[in-house]
Amino acid sequence: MGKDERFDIVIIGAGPNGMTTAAYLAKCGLSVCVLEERTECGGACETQEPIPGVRILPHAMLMYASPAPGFEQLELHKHGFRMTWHPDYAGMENVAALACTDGWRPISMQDKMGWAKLGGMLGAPPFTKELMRAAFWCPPHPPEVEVTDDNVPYMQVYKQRQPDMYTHELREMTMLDLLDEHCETEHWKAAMAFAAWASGAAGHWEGVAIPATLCVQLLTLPNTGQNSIPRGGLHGYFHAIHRAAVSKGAVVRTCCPVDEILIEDGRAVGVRLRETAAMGGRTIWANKAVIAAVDVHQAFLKMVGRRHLDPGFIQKIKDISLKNQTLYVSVFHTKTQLRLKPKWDREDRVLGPNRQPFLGVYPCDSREIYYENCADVDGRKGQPTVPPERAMWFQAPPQSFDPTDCQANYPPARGFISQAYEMAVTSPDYHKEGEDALDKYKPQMDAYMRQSYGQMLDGLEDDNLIHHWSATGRDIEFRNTGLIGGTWCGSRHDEDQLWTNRPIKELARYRTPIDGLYHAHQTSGHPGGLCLMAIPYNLMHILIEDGIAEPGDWWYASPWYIPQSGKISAKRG
Amino acid sequence: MAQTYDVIIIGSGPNGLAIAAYLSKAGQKVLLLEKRFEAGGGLATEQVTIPDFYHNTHAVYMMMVDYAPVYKDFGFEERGVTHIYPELQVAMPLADGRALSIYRDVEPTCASIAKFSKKDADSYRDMQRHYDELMKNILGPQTYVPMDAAPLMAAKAEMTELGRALSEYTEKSPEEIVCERFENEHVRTLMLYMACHWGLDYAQSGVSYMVPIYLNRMANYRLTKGGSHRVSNVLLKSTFEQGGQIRTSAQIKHIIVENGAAKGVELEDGTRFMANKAVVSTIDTHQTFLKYVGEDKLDREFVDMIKIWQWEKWSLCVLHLAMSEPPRFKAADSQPDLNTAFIHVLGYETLAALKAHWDAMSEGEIPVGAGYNCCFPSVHDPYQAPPGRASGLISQMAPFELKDGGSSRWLNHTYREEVAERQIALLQRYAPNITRDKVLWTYLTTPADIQNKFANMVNGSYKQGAYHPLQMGYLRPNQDCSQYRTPVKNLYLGGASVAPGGMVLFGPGYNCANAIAEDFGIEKWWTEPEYITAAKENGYV
Repeated sequence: MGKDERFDIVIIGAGPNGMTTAAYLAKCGLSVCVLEERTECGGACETQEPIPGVRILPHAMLMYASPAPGFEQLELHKHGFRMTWHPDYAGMENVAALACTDGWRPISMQDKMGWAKLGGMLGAPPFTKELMRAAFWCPPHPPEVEVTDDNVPYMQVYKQRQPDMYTHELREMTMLDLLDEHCETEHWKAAMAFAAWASGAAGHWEGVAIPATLCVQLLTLPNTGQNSIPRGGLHGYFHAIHRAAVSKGAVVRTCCPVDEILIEDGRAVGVRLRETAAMGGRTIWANKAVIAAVDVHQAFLKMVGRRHLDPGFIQKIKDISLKNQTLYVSVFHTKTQLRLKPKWDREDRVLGPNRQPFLGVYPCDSREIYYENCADVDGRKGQPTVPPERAMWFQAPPQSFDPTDCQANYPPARGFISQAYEMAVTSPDYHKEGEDALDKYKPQMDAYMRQSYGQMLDGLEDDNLIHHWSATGRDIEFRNTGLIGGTWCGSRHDEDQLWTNRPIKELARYRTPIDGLYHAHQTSGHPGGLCLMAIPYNLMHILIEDGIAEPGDWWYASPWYIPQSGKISAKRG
Repeated sequence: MAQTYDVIIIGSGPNGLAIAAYLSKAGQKVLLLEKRFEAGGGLATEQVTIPDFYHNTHAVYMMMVDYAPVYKDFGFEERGVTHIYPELQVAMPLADGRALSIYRDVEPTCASIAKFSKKDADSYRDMQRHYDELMKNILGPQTYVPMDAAPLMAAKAEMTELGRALSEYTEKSPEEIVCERFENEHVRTLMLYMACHWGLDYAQSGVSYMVPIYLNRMANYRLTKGGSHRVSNVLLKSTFEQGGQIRTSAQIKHIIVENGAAKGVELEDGTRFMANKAVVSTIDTHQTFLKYVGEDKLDREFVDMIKIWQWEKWSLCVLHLAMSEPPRFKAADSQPDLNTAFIHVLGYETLAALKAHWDAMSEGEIPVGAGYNCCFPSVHDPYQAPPGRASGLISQMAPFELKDGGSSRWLNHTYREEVAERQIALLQRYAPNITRDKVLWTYLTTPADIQNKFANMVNGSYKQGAYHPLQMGYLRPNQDCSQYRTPVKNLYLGGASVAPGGMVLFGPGYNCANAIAEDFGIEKWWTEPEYITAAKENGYV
């Protein structure tokens, strides 16, 4: 049905990974076709309008990607990327306190200095960008290279730039150990550990101290100014990447689900669209490579026929541990603006004429509360048993100061739409009462959420609440099939699924058992999720090695990258 | 630090997108600026209820797919964007179980009308034959060429039989036209609704040449497969491929005018974009001239003309629905294909009830039990809802200013729930299977929401202004701007507030792109459609 087509590269999935990969490869002069099953691209980088004119960020909501080489390599500023700076933009030095059950507890100077040191800000000169890039924007080493302290990129950076911090234990300790050594207050440590857990590598897991720490550092860097977000939200950021791809000739097709990756003689040669696709059942041939920018399950259990993969590999794919919380998202429509309870009401924690509260994490009292929450979600795996007073949660950054958001002009007759509030809950795949449990319990979950958020906020009472929109992990996955199990950051970022083992050895460098088939998704290789533009950057090194991509002068490899023997090096100059 | 382009376009609705696409492919360096975060304007498809239910939150019924040059010029079909053209276009089920049905084809329609009145059936056949002629020869071509001044247009009309026939319409009101042609109450009701619901005053003469257009287009509605937003996707992609730039989330501060000429645009954040050739505004004249150019840069008389622009008398209150199943109309018992109609008109059991709806709106009210049209896109395009489920919309004419409480009452959540419940209750009367529990989620867009979301749709004016005789055709928006150039040199208008008007026509955009190409000697890569050349040769336009 219809004409078959031929491109150099076919990419399945137009989320941030698929689109960034398309932008890179199109800039190399390759013909690229991106296929997206939904009517809209963007994946998790989505903006929603629960009421006309008022936008919220239901998924990706934080700017983790600021050190990414992609901004300059793809010239995103030329494609309209802008940040909307928080009006009280301030660097770390002005973040004064954290929300605890007894009110705001101040952050100490030691907290800030310790944190700054961990993030490379106290080097002479500071080496933050180099450190972040070493941690996330560098492909794992080739299989023939044994991973040692001397070649783990972040280890090398600390060793060279901050030798007093350097010790082998950095690769074995937990983030909390690290914070105990460098920072001071308990609430600071608890908050950072929670932020790390929500981002993918928990604060109490051994062996991931630095990745966990640096991941949270990405949010507190001075150039993200108190959790400022891109103009137009994360979807606005995505738009710039999309434009970068399309302006160099990438072809993006929506409403085109892929049914099968076509394989001949062990090599991926193209894809076949589903009969119901907008371009119905067509075959799209790939001269050079097929890149699956969808989750591991779809890619290997559905799109690649079983006969092409050995059963051991298939089992490993099924066993990849997602065991990681998913986030339960709530947005509230209330008659009056939500207000901070008197214990926490401060001028520097409200924004704009409507005094919209913005806070970070609550409650940060101690690591015991943090452990209690982790144990309940990752351990017990059922309905929440942590009492609402101790359930930890966080709030997405407000957007009301984005001048292109209509919210500011909307009269109070409409009521107020909050930003998203989130709490970690057990992923549906692991819930001991079954996959549908969370959805069955939705009313109870909603009530629990309101009780928890109501510890700190007034305005969630029945007589003020117009609507409570909520999304469970399953809802999120239903909308966006790539977010398997509702996971927000890809598979578990623990020691066993890290770096050269992520998600499994065979997939760690983005290659797959099928020649010409690569994998670029948060459930695939290093570093996982969070819209970092990292996987595509890392994948580029591999595509250069395999002779698929030949970028121009604008390309530079990671300084810590080790070329695979027998392959073309991705280094330039 | 400024960046320079050939042409800067403000507003990325269908017209802005068309201009960007035409000119970028003609080798011009084009920048398209959009205030909102998403391009496409009214060409929007969004998941506003439950994941996987897609809703066309503004433009749904595409009525000029067979006439607008953009579809062929940009290879929509080749790019995989097609339109569904349901056999049964409009159905009006009645409480007594009968239904009046308008099909693509004339004969089945006549058969349906004959059940109400044989005379009306013949009259319909005759009408569509005549209107087809009018559409093909005059009304269609007129949409895609600049408007002539009234005397010239009248002169041309005098020279041909068809022209003379069309002129007669202008003397009559839509109600007169419909009632002269049809005798049966229900036929009259449906015809008058379809002729006027897009914004014509049923009792006013002067723009009734729109009646043949709307009644002819009534059998020509199409649905974009995959959702209306796909139409904007094609134009966006073409623009990108040709090196055009689009900036979303870009708030303008002013249009830079120096020595009486438009030189560029400045954004709120200070970024300046300069235009070597033209600045085009596809948004309304108030924002364009009063806000972004500034009264101090314009003649007093011109400013007065701008200020008397009339916004629309009524807008739409639309309820989007995620449903567990599609509606099964009671009237389908006697007419099995009824459930496959593209549009269902419900609730107007008499002509008086229909007129009462319009009359009430001028008092700021909607009558209890007021009717509407509804559409269930997933019935025709399974993409738009999960398997077995249904997505739908109920589109009801509604005033902007409400008698009690003004326009802010639209934002009151209690009132919104009432409105939604009433609309669903009416649906249930005609399609009893839609009990309240079958409606999984709703999302309401009211006239106040439309204004908030689209700053150019003041008072919810989705055509950017009333279809009043004094501001249509050569007078839209006024005689200084209706040919797309404005008193400010190099500033062009290309949106719904310029001739021929609003809806997804691509008329203003196409004509504006032509005007710019002519003024700057830009070689056109696109050729005039045959039907327009023929109409010119025959002296019709």
